[in-house]
Amino acid sequence: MAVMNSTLEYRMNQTREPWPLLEAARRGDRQAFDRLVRPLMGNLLALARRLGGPHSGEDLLQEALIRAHRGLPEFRGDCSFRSWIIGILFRLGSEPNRYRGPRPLPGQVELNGLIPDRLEADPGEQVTTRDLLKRVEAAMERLPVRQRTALHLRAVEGWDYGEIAAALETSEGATRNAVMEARRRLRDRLGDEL
Amino acid sequence: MTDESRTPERCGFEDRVIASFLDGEPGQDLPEVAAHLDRCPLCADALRKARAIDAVLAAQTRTDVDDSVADRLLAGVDEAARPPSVPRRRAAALVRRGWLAVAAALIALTVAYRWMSPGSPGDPEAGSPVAGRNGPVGSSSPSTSSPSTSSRSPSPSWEPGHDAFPVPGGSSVGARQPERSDFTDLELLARLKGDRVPGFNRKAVADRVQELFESASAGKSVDSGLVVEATRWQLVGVRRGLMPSGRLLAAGRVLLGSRGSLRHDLVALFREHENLVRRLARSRVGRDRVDPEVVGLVGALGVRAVATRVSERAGPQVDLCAEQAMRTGDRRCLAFLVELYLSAARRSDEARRERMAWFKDLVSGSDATLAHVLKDKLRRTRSQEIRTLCEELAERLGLPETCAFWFARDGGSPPEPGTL
Repeated sequence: MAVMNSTLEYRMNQTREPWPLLEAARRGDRQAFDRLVRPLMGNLLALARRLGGPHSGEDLLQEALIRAHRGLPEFRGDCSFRSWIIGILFRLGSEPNRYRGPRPLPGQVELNGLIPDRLEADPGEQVTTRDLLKRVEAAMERLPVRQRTALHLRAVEGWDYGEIAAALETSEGATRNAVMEARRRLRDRLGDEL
Repeated sequence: MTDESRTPERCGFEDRVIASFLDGEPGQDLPEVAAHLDRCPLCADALRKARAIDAVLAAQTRTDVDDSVADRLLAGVDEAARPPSVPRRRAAALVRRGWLAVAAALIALTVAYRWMSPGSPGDPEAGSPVAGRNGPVGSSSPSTSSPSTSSRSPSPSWEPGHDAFPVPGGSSVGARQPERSDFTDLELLARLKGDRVPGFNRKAVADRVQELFESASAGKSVDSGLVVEATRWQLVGVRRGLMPSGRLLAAGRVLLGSRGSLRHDLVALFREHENLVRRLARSRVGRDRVDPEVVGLVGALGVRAVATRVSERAGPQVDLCAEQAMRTGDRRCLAFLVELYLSAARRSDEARRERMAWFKDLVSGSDATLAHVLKDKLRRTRSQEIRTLCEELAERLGLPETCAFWFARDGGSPPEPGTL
């Protein structure tokens, strides 16, 4: 048992998260879990919205957090904590039947994207950029979940292929192919709009 | 690097160029790739677009989460971490609905009991009201709603041919059954339909589903609606590889023992996932091993793709298969039986004669459907041998219109009597 614990400790030391925090969170310390998760919240929410859509991104993330909290005692430290939690999010997002988030009610309008975050100097340019953003988002939504997640983690989060592969539980080569294929499809779909 | 694969639309080296320049992984051949990029406008355009896509994605999805949002999201973790004894809103609503349904069912049964047997409240034989069920909580079927009928058989067993499962001892199907699990049937139903029930994980559901199937096969009281949902859940689980295909046998046993609307529903469900049954048949109906339940299931569903395998390898179990096919009795099952017959008939004259009598006995009374099946077979086949066998079968079964159809289609004339 002592050997097993020291192996686990060694593995966890290889990750980016401080060992005492992880260990405390594994024992059920809610504050420690908070401190582990909060710095990742922005990245997690971005991916959750990418996978679940703007309507149910937050619900998807909340479900992933609940499952992560429940499953943390079984986290073996084979990968970093953020890869592990992203993996949970990815699996939830790729199997819609596992998770059914709330859908917008009839007549309910999604406001994200309609209201700009800030006003730019050139409204014409703002409209063009927003239009392009919408088209890229629409093209992303049509990608398979694995390719979408891999491209997001590569292009938005800047992860290396090894870490993406660990999160998606696949090989590095398969991850490269997924990113490559995603980029090719987006290029084909967006055509001359870029 | 050659430009042989180059087409007007696509160069063929875009991915390599992008991997070298955008992913910052130059590798050994960077000068070569750079030289190619200089002279290839297609690759230059692809690289520019890939960079634009990455930039747009990075700009669009940068999400800053303020503390209130993070607090709200993490509050869900606290709520989920509470002990199961603290009912959450959904579970509470579910339980409330469950109790309401049980109460409604009890009131309805009491009223029905008093109305149907006015003089019997003091009669000890009429003292245990029984709910016959074939659907949602509270519904009852005329065949089992009479208390006196069921009270005469203290341990009623579920008979094939009845849609409803009798409920022994007057227990309500929707009621909590603590000896089986901590979760009610209503919670199981909600979970099977995809709702979240706290603490009810996949393994617990799988165990409950298995128990449910075993109870149904053993003639215990189960809700047919629940059986259908459990079968659907298990089929989807097997299809996704979350559980072994052998788990389907329990649901298959329930199907084999069922009739009426339950059988109809289960057959329809299994047919949606027919490839799973085919896979099961290929692994469990072999030269050295024949699983009778799988053979029966194949017959009940009428899986034509494995008719030859069953005919060649099932031996005496073919009768079980045919019996199940006739119990379902639809056109697809008759087509399956025709395939069984043809498969045997093609092997030898002796088998043909033997199977002809067998087939005639089996399908008597299904002339109209069988005529359609044979017409369809004749329309599709190109084998002269099968045509002759079908024609002979049609004649022996007394389906002259089938022969007429075929001869009219081919522009030939009917054969001389006795030549077939």
